[in-house]
Amino acid sequence: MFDFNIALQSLIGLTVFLTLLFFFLLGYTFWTRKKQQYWERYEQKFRNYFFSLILDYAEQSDPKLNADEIIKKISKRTKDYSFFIKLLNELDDILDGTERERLNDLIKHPTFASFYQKKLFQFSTDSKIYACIYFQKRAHLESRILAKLITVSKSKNLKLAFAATKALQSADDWTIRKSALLRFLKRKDTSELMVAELLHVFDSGLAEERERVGEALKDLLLKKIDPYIKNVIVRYMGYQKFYECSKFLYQYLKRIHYSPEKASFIRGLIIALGELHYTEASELIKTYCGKGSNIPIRLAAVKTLSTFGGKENMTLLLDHLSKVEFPIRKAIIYEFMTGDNNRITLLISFVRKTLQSIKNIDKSNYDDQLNSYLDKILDITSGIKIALNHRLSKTYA
Amino acid sequence: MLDSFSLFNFIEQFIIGYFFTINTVYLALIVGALIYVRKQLLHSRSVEADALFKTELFKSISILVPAYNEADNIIESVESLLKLEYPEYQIIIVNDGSTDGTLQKLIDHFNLTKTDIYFEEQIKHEHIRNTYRSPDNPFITVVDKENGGKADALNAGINIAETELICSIDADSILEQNVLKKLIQTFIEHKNTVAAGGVVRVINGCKIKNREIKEIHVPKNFWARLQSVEYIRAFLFGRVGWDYFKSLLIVSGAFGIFDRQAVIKVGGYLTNTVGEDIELIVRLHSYHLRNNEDYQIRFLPEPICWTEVPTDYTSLRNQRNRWHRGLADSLWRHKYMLFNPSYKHIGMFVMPFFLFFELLGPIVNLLGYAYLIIVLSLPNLFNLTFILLFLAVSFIYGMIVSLIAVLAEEIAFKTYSSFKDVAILSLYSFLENLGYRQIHSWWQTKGLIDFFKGKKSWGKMIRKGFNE
Repeated sequence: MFDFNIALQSLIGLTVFLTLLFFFLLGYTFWTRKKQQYWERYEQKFRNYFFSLILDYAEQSDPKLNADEIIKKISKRTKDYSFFIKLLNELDDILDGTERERLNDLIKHPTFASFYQKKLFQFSTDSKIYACIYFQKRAHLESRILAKLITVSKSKNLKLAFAATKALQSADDWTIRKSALLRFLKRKDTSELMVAELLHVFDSGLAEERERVGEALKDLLLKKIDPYIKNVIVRYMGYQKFYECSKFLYQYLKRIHYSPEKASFIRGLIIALGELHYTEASELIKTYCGKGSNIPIRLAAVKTLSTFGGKENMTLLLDHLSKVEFPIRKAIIYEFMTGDNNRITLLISFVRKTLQSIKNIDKSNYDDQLNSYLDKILDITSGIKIALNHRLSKTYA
Repeated sequence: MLDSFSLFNFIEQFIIGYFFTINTVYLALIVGALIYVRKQLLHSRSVEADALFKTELFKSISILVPAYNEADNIIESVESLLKLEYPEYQIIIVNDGSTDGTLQKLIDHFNLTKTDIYFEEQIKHEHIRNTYRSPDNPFITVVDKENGGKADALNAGINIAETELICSIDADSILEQNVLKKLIQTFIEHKNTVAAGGVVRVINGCKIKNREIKEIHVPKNFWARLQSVEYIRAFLFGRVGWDYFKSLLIVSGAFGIFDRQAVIKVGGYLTNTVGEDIELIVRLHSYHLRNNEDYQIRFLPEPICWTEVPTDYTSLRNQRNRWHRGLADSLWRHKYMLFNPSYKHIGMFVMPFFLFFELLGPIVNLLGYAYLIIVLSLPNLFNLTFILLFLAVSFIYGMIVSLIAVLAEEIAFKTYSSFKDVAILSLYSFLENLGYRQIHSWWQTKGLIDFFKGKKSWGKMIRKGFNE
């Protein structure tokens, strides 16, 4: 049974609590808003002042300033540093060439380096993340920072580990970059998009590093990494045209045995070989074209064989046309619509042959199987008509 | 057997316990969500995509816009979608048998021409009459189909789409320009994400120019202001809180992004329900848990979509009635998940919570208020202790929860342009508990009754449109 006094006390207590809470929170939110407005105004002033100064420095227009002189103008407040770095990063996205390099000199200035180094060594995850984001833009990282970043990259916190791994890609030591990448890719919680982002950061795009990057990617494929991650790696190799890795990828595809877990990886390998135009792989890829493999793999095989081109490959695709499921059928039809007119000629002769074979069918033997075949042929012809229209409209355009 | 005294005592304890529990859960969700949101916002820069978009490995998106009699704002809506920041996306507008010239407006404005599209009907939908594309703008596809409802229109769009992700939106919503870039962060951060939602906020009262929000203010309308409080409490912090426990059961129909193959695998949107958004999410949970497949359904705690809320009593009543019927329908269809350990925390905790507190809660609320009236009016039953406790756990505790939600929003997001708006919403968080919640409970109870009667209509909604 309820006690009256407790009930009354609860009511009074809650009412008082509500009133106090209301005024406290209202006051607190008011204060936080005022504080935010103050910093917004401050940032605006800060930007107005430093924007032209940094731009003059980057362009080396008169009066010629050096990095130290600009940095001296910043007060030692944390906010100033973060506003300054934010401004530098924004300009970094706009500027190019020597101007950008000069801008990077500012980013790399020891003042910021030591400021963010302190942050990196703080306990708070937020601080560490901020530091990692800063070090992603830095080059020539000191060994102490590198050591800490390596530790942080092993964190259980996925975002922190990701930020640290990205930062480690600024290291001069190649093995540090590679092992950081490998460590992250071995995690079980890594998303495909994270892998793609990291690979692009890992691959500097410099011609002199290309061979080394290719070798490193090949090496990663030999490590114990989940197949869905390997799928991203091989597709990256394909899209970024690592031609020198073609043979290796082909050998990999030759040796891999199909399992549902490896399906995405096999698909990735086929896509990559297509992108790399490694025609020697066509015989092997043909084996993935037929029924039995999963649809994404077969779609990749169709696309790759079409990329390779050649009468043999295209004829094989045509042979499959009337036997396969809709997505594959559609892919084959659209592949015939790309490229030269020979493909269209092949397709038309296929249609003619098929129509002839339909004419020769004994109409007294109609059954469900035949009906479904005829439905498929009807679907193929309408598909061809639609695809042809698309090709024509594109040509006219 | 219980004597009358202990029976009344039991009822009173049950009512007090119920109100205390539900408000405590909401308070915990809000406080937890506030901490989580602040962390998420601070850490979001670490998963900002940069290099990803320089590769061909990002996910392309099709935005599906189901449109039924949207002639007044469809052009502005599509034009604003064309301004979104994302490297590769398609817009598929599905004209769901409109009778007000929506299609003609689209044809005229975008210079559309009839084009056949070769696609497979992987999900059933009403007959497609024609498809159109613009020679000037290859990103736009218009599908003209027989009327079949929003879910049916979305299913047609899913069949036509060829991208990895699909994004379903309401034609009358306004999206932030960086919405897709923001939401892709959810897919970067969480492996195997199959669905993601974002914060849907009230647009009434905001200053809009060229379908871009210039200033954010509270609505001027009484009902809309109450809903603003509700959107913050339940749809912002409530959902963030559920997301924290990986237990999100609703991704708003006004804005949601999905893995297309995952949606096809579960059969697309259900057409014979009025709660197609919640039903799809429950089905996605059910499918992946049953098949022991890794998946995530997440919520991005940033305002990304703005929608107009009803401003008159009847429209609001109809909307809430429909929402409750949708919830009832989803829980009924997936009742096999309730207390079923195969469905893990969703079956053992989230679904029962939604059943007892969200679905049946309004009945308990109404019974509580009815009992209070009885106690107040019958001298024999008059129990001051109960009345005081009821006032404390129902009204005052409810006010605390709403107030904390409004002020937590200000602390975390500072969405509103002026502090005056925050003060107004704070006052409305008191008002919300004095009348609105009670009426709302009645609408929901009526919705439950209508569900059992088999009502399937959406109910009439009057929209005033955006004033620029």
